[in-house]
Amino acid sequence: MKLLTTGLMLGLMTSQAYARGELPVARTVVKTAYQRLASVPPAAAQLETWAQEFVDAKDAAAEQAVLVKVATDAVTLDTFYSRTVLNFAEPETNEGEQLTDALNDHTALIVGMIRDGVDYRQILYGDVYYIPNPALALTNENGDPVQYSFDNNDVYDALHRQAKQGLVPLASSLMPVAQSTQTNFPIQAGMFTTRGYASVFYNDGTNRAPVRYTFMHYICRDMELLSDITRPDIYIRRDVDRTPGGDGEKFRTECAGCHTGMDPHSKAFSYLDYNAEDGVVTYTPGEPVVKVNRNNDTFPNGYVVEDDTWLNIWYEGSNSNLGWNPEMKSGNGPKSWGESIATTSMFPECMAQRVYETVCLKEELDSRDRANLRKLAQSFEADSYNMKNLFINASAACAVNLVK
Amino acid sequence: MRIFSTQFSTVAIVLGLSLLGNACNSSKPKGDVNTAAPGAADQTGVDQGTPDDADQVVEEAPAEEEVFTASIGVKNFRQLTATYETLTGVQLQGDVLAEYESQLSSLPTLVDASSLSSSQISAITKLAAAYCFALSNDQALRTEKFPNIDFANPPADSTGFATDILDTFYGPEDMLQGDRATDIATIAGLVDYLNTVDFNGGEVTQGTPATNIFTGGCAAALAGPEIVLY
Repeated sequence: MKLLTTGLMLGLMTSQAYARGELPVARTVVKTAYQRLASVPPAAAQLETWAQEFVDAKDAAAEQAVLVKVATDAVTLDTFYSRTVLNFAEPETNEGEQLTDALNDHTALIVGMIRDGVDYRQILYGDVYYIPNPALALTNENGDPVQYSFDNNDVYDALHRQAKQGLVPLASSLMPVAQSTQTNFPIQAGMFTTRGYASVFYNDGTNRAPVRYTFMHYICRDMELLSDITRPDIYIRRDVDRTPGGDGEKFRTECAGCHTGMDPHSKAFSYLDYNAEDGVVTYTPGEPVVKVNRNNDTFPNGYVVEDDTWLNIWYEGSNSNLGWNPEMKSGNGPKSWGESIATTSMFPECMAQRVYETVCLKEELDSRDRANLRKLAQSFEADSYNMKNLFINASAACAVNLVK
Repeated sequence: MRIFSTQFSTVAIVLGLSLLGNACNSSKPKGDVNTAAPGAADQTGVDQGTPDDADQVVEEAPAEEEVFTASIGVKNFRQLTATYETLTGVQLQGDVLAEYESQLSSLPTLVDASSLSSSQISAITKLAAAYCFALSNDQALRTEKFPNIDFANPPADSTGFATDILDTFYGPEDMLQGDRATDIATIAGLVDYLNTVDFNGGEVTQGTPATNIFTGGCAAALAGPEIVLY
């Protein structure tokens, strides 16, 4: 099979050329721009109209305008949200970064915010939320009515099942509400205070996972890229062995590089926990959850977490060039921490990169891609962080790259 | 439905692979299309640059070897159902949903075309067959999608029958598709074959129901690279 697919690629690449202005070329380009967003092919008549417009385009700017029009049409379809946006969203909602074929309030938040074109930075701190419209009167598999509750995922499961079967659209079935009026949870901090997020990232562990995965998905850097052994290690907790395997050097040259920065960041989540048995998210202001101070005999002189004051000590050192917000070097709780990440200059660059990978199907980037990314990040920022428009612009940018 | 899928999926899989082979070996001019698999062309890696990059932008001209860098990927499980729903008008319900759930663990999840396995192609074809079977048995839908096909009688003109299926599903020819005439000949060959075979009895007889012949050609077309790759 790999030979066949490799053969397909080579076969496609080595044949003789069409001229740029010919209709088959134009069909390929506009079909790609459409399908990378809609996940479905365009109707034949519509494809022909757009292809002819692309052929008739006088210059690159006119070609780009046609592709933006095509892409704008594609995002009107529910399949853009129920397929492409879910492909974008789901990997960040679980530690395995897998497609899950499921819906919860975390993925619904991403779908809804992209649908409404709101300032996407709020995903990390806003009082924003999306629930299935109660007017849909959704039912479970047994036909029993289900209603929204912060203590279970039933209503999202019902919406997902019925949307998958074509009984209701996914995106337009979601209704924006304020978390503060819906969840009855004491704090509101974008995805950090959704049940779906909590059930994965506050479940077990030591609440360091939110930091690592937020950096991965919103700064586009995992820990090995952030590791900086020059920073002071005074905030590293007691559960980190200072002489792993009897080797103190290993702690200083490997472990400390990540924990020096990650541990004071992760204090933001000290009051949050998830009880998997009951399916309940908990918040205990003034009382750090037990797990952030457990294994305290590994290095008893390590840092003791006593509150949710977070500190960004990567503001200096090798990570000082990540475009941190100078007014947010420390704070309390996930809301201010999320805002400090969302207001870095890496946030728009990372969003552009992730959307580009989703739409353009590329992980390894060449110089043309990197030029595209810079432009996309700049336009995303100038466009008030509208993710829907970022998807549109990314699709138009990479479709035209199909031809020289 | 499962029984039907089993009977026809083998033939459809073989035909699907034939269509893939056609795409691989097509002598059709493909133009300056950049079609490397994701990540195949450039080893320079992801930009790890800093925010300062924005102030130091130098528009690098793509090197010659970087021209072939736009990617083609495999549609995953949810994109396949969306595509099949759009093309056939059949929703993911009833027997089609049952087949989907049966095949879900084998349907593609990765976009990388080089990761596509034979078991995934088999699952794709079985899913396609489920949609096609539902379409062939829905009089309103099949009339809407294929007004020129006589579903009451075996096709007398296999080439015309195959042309109708492929033109409807594949749309106007573009540079990434296999040669249409070859694809038509492949499907027409399947139609001729199905015209003479009674799969239910395992014996060669005349008169396979027209709906079943349609399903075989339809499944092969929908499981082809023109639909599965994008």
